[in-house]
Amino acid sequence: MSFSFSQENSIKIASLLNRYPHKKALILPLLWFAQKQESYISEDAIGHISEFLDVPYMHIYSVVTFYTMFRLTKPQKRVIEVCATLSCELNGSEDIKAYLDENYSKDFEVIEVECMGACSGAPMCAIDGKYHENLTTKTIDEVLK
Amino acid sequence: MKILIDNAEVECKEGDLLIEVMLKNALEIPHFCYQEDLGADGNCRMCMVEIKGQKRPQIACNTFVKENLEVSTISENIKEVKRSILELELLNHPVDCAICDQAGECKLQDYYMDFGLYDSHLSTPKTKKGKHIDLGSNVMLDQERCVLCTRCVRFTSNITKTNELGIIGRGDNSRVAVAPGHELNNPYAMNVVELCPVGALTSKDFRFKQRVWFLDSTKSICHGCSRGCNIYIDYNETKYSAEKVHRFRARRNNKINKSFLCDYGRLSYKELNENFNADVSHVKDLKELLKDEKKLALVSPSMSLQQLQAVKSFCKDNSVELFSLPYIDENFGDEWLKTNDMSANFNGVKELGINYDEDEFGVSLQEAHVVINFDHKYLKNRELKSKKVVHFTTSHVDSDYELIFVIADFAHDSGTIINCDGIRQDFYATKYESQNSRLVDILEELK
Ligand code: SF4
Ligand code: SF4
Ligand code: FES
Ligand code: FES
Repeated sequence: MSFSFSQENSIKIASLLNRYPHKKALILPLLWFAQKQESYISEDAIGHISEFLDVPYMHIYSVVTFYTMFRLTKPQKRVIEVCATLSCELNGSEDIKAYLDENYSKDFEVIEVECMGACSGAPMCAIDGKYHENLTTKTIDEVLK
Repeated sequence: MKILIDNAEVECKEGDLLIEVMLKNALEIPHFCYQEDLGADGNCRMCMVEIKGQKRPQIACNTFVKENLEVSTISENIKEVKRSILELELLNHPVDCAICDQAGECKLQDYYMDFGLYDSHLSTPKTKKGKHIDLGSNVMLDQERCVLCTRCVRFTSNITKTNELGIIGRGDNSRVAVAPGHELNNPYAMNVVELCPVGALTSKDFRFKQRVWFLDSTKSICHGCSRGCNIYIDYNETKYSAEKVHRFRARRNNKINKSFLCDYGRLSYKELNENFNADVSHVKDLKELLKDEKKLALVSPSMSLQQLQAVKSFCKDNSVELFSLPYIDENFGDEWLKTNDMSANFNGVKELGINYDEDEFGVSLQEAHVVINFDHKYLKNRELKSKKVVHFTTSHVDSDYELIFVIADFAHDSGTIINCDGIRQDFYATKYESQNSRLVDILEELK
């Protein structure tokens, strides 16, 4: 069950490679690619990135555990990421999270994440990575039903 | 150049690291993350000092001394700073010194007694982390006792370059760990136990066996290979048991092992506890055997110069042909401390001009009638048919012999050995008499 980057990701990585003085700088982008590709970061992916960047396995693993947005286990359901950072919080993200938990947690894994850079549409969430902004309980139902 | 530390003049050079100046002059400076061989990391903030002319306290491990520097480590202000830092260090610490193996040699405990002594301000429960995690290589981790100084991590990343350890998570959830499915596994792994300033890393081999304040220490040299790493033998004699060696600890020698040991050498203390009692033979029986014409002796290349010299004179006086052979293991040595020559004093053998030609030894062995083995490993368990074998030994002998003399081991017979780089080093006996005679004394009796 070995890991390798998809062709599409490999092209992106190749173009990133000469952007920084040291390969080590690519740890985060590569982890993102790996997570997007497999929906989580597998041990094999860590091993592959470690070899590719010539950075010790433990170091990559440390980085993965430092950031809350990386996951080490495969999601069992579809994922809804609810932003819980300032703008979204002020615009009611807590209620959105509670509503999702109550009504959709059977079919979805609802998690809180940090700002996704869509503050102008707060409160927002991402379903399977796709952004949904200016959420209300009504728009949630519309999207999910 | 001179600087002022707590109003006393201290000699140093411009650009020296303040913490090193203080440690060299035996001045108290609390520190967790700085370690002589790992260098400074600046993460623990325990080494804060006050510097005249600077608004905020500075860390001594990142301050380079210059002319007219005035340092205070004892002002009320700096004590308060240390108290606050300790409070943060201990925020999630279980304070279980009573059952912790590090108690008595724990920096956190020491500093708490000096600067801490506050009531906990914590209103929320302490963060729970992993207890007794087996990292591998005899090393046990208690994540709750860790102060995150990263000494252990830096040891595996900068010194052994094996990178097994790291810090995972963040904030008050940060902890030392190995990656899942991986373990701490390198021939020097147990050094992290000694490096750890607190009771987070303990040795499976030592934990729960002894309280450190019941141990005596003696300065010695590891006899595991020709590197001759400097050690302390930690031992004691308790009411209900005979003297026992409990561990070897690294003793600093910047020319040889710095503050490290290999695990093989560290654990080789066990040989010193092998109690071996045989019916010791009489010296007069040996005198009788010495009348034979064809006599050969093989002496261990791990014996001290004093022992080798005595053996050499004995052989000369009694016309015994003397050899020594090194203990070579091609798989033992590495690029760092371990050497393929696993004898402690082969350079001593050479210095005394003792014959170590293996072929000549083979030929002589065939012809000899009497073979005297001075604690050489190769002859201990080898049957020599139709020869009269005499053993002077520190450990159990499995083969047939004619006579046997049990002699004191290197923990009970001080001496000098020469390491692989020609460095001459003394080691000392523990304070307890051995039940066994010293080799030199037996040979004296034979004169
Ligand atoms: S386990 Fe010990 S050496 Fe390692 S970071 Fe924690 S306190 Fe420091
Ligand atoms: S390197 Fe050799 S002398 Fe040093 S601790 Fe290991 S066995 Fe002993
Ligand atoms: S705060 Fe929610 S997207 Fe920025
Ligand atoms: S010893 Fe200076 S910050 Fe840790």
